[in-house]
Amino acid sequence: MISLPLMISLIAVVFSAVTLVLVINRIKIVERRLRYVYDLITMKRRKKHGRIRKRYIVFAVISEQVLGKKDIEKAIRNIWKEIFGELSLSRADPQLIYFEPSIQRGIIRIRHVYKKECLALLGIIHEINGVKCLLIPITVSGTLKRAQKKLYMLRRDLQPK
Amino acid sequence: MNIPLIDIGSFCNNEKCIETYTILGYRAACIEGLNHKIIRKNNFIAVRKSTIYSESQKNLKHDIRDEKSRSFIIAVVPLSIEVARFAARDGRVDMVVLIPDSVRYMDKTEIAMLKRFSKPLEVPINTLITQPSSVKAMIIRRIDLALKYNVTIILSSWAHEWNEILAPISYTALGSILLRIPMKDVLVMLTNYTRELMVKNGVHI
Repeated sequence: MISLPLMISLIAVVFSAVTLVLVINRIKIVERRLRYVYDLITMKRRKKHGRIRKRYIVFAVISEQVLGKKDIEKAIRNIWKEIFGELSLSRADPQLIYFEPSIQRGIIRIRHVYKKECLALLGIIHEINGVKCLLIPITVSGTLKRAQKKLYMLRRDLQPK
Repeated sequence: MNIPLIDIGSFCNNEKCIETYTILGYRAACIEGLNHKIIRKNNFIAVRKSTIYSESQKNLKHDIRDEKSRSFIIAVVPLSIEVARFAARDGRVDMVVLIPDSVRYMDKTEIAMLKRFSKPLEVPINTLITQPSSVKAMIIRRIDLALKYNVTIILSSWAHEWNEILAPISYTALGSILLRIPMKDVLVMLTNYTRELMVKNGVHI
């Protein structure tokens, strides 16, 4: 049978060990934070290049005739080149990844930093292959799945009658 | 909250245009050459606007007298310094328009006068896209000056056909890129300033 003083001393040893581990952990955290601040001051830590984020712009087309996917994509690329330039076009890389001719709606994929340019561009396009048209941005989404869901859901009044 | 989107300058006065405005979510539009002084249709209001091109003060005074009773909004395109100064201080003129024809007469003094008499400057957004780069540069210089002086700038589409009307989101994005200001400020140009102008002239929105 263990005597009472031995038991107390055992508990004290366990308690002190746990406290020691916690203190060491805390010191490590503080050390890491100090190192981060030091790196920031000495400019050692630089901003890393993040992954290329994308945005999916859902748009509707109002036109006198039914337009095809290729025509719309070509028009977007041509007008982008005319307004924002070739370099901007290759960086932004706007792609018409999905177009539903029956409801005249589509999804454009673009780099997230060029979202505003793409929205502006859709408003500038007034004519495609001699056909008067109006491209209306409906919504912007971060994932293709959500964009496709919105493509079929929103603004029924924009669909051709 | 339903924000009243208003296109302050348009030449598109047929049925198709009004339908397009309704689809795009506009609440009102000031249209040049409208048959009636005001048209209300499905919660959309179209009012008549007059743009006066004038070279002399005498002609401008005469034109304003004629147009004020027929139109709600009067905008002036100054084609001389004299007209530009008069348009800035006359109470019947609602806006001074900045287009390639009038850009030479919009100098620092004129912008300061617009500021002093709280007169907005109308900038048709299509001139910033379609014009040659030299003209565009001149317009952008004037816009920068107006922004520096805190002059109220109002963007308008100057659409002649239904397909030239801009969707509001495209409008704000394009305005933000061209004027180099946040999208929220451009939205204020499309909603608050235009609404104030229309309410001042007796249109209930």
